[in-house]
Amino acid sequence: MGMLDTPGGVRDLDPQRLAGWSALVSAWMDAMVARTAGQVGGAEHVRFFNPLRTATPGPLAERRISWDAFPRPVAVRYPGDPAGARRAADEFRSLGDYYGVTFYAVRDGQAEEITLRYRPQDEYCEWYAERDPDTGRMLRIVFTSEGHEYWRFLAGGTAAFPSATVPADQRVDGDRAQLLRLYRELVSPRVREEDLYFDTDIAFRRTPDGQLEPYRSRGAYNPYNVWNTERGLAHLTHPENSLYGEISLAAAASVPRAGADGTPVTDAGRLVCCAALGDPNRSSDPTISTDVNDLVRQGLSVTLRDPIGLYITAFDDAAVSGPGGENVASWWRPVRGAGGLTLRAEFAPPPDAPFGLEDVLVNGLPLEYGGQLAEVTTMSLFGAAADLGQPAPAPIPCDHRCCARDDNPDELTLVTIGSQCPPGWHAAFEETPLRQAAAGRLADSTRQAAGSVRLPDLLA
Amino acid sequence: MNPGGSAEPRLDLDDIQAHVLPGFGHEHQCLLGWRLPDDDPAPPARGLLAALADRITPASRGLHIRQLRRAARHGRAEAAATTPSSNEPHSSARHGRIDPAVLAEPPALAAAVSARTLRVLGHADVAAIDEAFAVGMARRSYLRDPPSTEWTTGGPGREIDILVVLAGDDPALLADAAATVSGAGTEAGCELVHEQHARRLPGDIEHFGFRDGISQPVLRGVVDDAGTPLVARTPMPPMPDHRAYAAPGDVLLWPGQFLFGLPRQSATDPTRPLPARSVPALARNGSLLVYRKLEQDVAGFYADTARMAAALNTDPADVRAQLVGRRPDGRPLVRPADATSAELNHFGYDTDAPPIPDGPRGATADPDGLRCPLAAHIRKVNPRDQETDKGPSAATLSFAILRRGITYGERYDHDSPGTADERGLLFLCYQTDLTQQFELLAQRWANNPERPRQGLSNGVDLIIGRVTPGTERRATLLAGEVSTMTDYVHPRGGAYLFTPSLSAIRTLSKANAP
Ligand code: HEM
Repeated sequence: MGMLDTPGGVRDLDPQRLAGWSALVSAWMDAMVARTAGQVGGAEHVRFFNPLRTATPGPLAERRISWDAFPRPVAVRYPGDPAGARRAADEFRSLGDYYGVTFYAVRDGQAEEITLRYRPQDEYCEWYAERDPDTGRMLRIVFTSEGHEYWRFLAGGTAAFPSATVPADQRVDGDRAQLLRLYRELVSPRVREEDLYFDTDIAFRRTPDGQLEPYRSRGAYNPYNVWNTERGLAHLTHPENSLYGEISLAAAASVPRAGADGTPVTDAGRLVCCAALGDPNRSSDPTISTDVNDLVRQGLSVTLRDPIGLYITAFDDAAVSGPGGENVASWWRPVRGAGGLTLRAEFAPPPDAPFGLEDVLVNGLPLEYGGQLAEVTTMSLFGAAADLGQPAPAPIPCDHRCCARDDNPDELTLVTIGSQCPPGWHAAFEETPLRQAAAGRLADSTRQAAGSVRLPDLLA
Repeated sequence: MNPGGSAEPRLDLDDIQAHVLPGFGHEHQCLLGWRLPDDDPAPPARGLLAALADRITPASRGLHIRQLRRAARHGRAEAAATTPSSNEPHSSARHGRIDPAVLAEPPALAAAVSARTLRVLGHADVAAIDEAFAVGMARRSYLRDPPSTEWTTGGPGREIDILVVLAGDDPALLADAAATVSGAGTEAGCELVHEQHARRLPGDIEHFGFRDGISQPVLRGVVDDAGTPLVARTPMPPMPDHRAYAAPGDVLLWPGQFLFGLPRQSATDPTRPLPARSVPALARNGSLLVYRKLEQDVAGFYADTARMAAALNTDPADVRAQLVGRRPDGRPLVRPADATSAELNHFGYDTDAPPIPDGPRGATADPDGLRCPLAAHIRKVNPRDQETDKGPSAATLSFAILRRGITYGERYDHDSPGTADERGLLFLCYQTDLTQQFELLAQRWANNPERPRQGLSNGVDLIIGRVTPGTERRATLLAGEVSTMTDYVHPRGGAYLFTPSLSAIRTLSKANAP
């Protein structure tokens, strides 16, 4: 195999940049192989591989892993209230709150507090309902599963990812003209180049009287720009919705785990908690992790199928109809991604439609929220496995566990192993009260555990 | 006692309808559906509900009748010869003489109402308790039912606003009761839009020839101050699936899964409950009822499975068993063929079920569908301890339904085919969340070739699965893939309804205080 392709095999790049993109993804894969080696005690025990570096006997066995596009972490907070969950899924959240920091625009030495917004739609699928500015009526609902990395690459080339070790001869510049073209084509013809970049330096503070730490420089691509948040959608915004996150998760999931008593942890819920594999409330992360882990326990080595990406693979068009039962299946249209690998889709009436989006029924309910369509949309990624003749490595112990909220135990949070659940939470997946009592009370709790998982990401 | 450490709630058996708990076990049933008039619908609704209020069978009475029936049956079973692989008395006993004490019981009665009925009676909050209920079954397009204009039950102009289920062992008594109720409905000004007789087939089989009603969740809850559980608990060793069982194969669920106002089943913790949802007072002890009339094409099922078997070079009986996941007498395919009656429901798919001292033997798991196909009906609608696209294995408990179905129509006669009679299953089930329970099983799983189990070629549930008209239904069986353009089960309509508590029926039957 010579190169790793762009997500969905999209063709926005010239050959040199295509090679640069491949080198970048390959560098991430290498970093993950190295990280995994550190976890399992040596390269010989790693079962996650970079397809550019490892020759495999024959073609790879592929495995499609699917989940629902509607964010489960939002749904679990609204038991019995799907309408409430849909409303909440459409509300922006503050990136500063997510990382537990405050962001500032720094101009001429003056720091002014700012809010960067992201969508809570964290199943690797985000949507946006575009409205007519005059009438407020919905014109189309767009969905994307494209990570921010490719767009940052277009803006800044390989240099946008200083922590990735791309060989000097494969480093490339960005293609800002192409980035602008894409925004204009996919989002709005009114996008101006300057809308897409930070117009000041951006910094953050961890505590109100803490030091200002640099985040992004003036002129850097702003993934949270208005055309990707309030006024449109180009790519994913949730901090955990990233391509890098997908690769990292697949690599981490390739490590077999065992509980304190030595029994392998195989159950999706427990595995995600044990190894802190993403958010235990999501549909995607536990599903991806267990499937990958399963393959490794069967003695296979795993990777992600090229082109690596997250894809919108199915939309249940039986769920939608016109006000009089008309078939509106054709209103759903993939618009980006080749060969069925859809990165972007939209639901919009054809020009001659006798009725509009507000008249569409989703299982009998008027279409009001993009979330109604996300509920019947399936996301997938494609794992790949090869038998490299190596047995499954010995499992390593858990480093995290989950706590469940007392007043809604379906909501989970991660803590490091050995630390106590925060007040108002209890140990999840514990079978006996005995075991709960045995856990010692340590001061650090969710917040810290979550912080330690997420901060490096912020600084990447 | 209870590993989660949470006390089980008190169940008010005088308030809960017997159709929800423990269900009507009788041989005969009669379902009557009324529509309220378009003009001034409230008085007729109140009138009919008032006439029904004092006749509705509470759970306490239902349990008593069930005990009588069991005692009567077991008494006879001891005398009659029973097959070693069936714990049910032989069919002659089942349909033979029934104890006079049981026969003399007046028919049991249940009543359920539509969202419209609740709205016209001033309880829009209860009508809105569940999104799918509020919208109605006819508009849940992702079920892929035929258009409601083609329904024989509950279609346009014949919507069921009040459903009455009558059940008894004596057809004459049942007919009398049905006539009385019919008269009351007409007198109240309601229009009778549906009348459906149903009769259990001998041995509790359904029309395709398989024993039904084997696997059913058991409700947690106590029935008195002394803390007596609703269902007695057999001591069980810790199970690898981390679930709690009342007895081997009888998984325990928190009652809020089926009754409003009680602690619910968690999606992450098999033993610890979720707090009760806050619901309007009128909804407490009530439950959401799915009613679907499913016509079964027995000849089509046999012909098509014979065709598949020929193509795969296997036995048609094996193909049919693989579509269901059990053999006709109920023995599950994941177990070897010598399974005994006590072993019918003690098994898992992901982890081995351990042997139970003085009880069923252990059962080997079958995670990848090597003994029981992943597309088998019972695996599609209850993946048990397997993780699904909806998360960890514990979550499957939170999708469980309480089935109350009964067969209708005469048994198909394979020796004189061509009989035009209609037959099938009146599928009835209870839950408190239609989207996360019935619809999830029927739409997300049975209709979906890649779910609930992922990553392996799987297929749709060929018993109930529905796909886009004009496209093939496909499933992977043990000997290979099969596909068909034929449906064997044809939805003929029905309704989403709410089965209120006895006290709620009384409230509904009275005019609102100004
Ligand atoms: C005419 C249509 C149907 C037929 C012939 C049929 C037949 C059967 C049979 C033979 C069994 C095995 C007996 C048992 O395990 O108790 C079964 C189980 C079951 N069926 Fe159906 N069924 C039909 C429709 C449905 C529908 C519409 C649903 C709901 C989505 C459903 C849900 C279930 C469930 C939950 C079980 C128990 C599975 C378990 O716990 O292992 N069935 N059915």
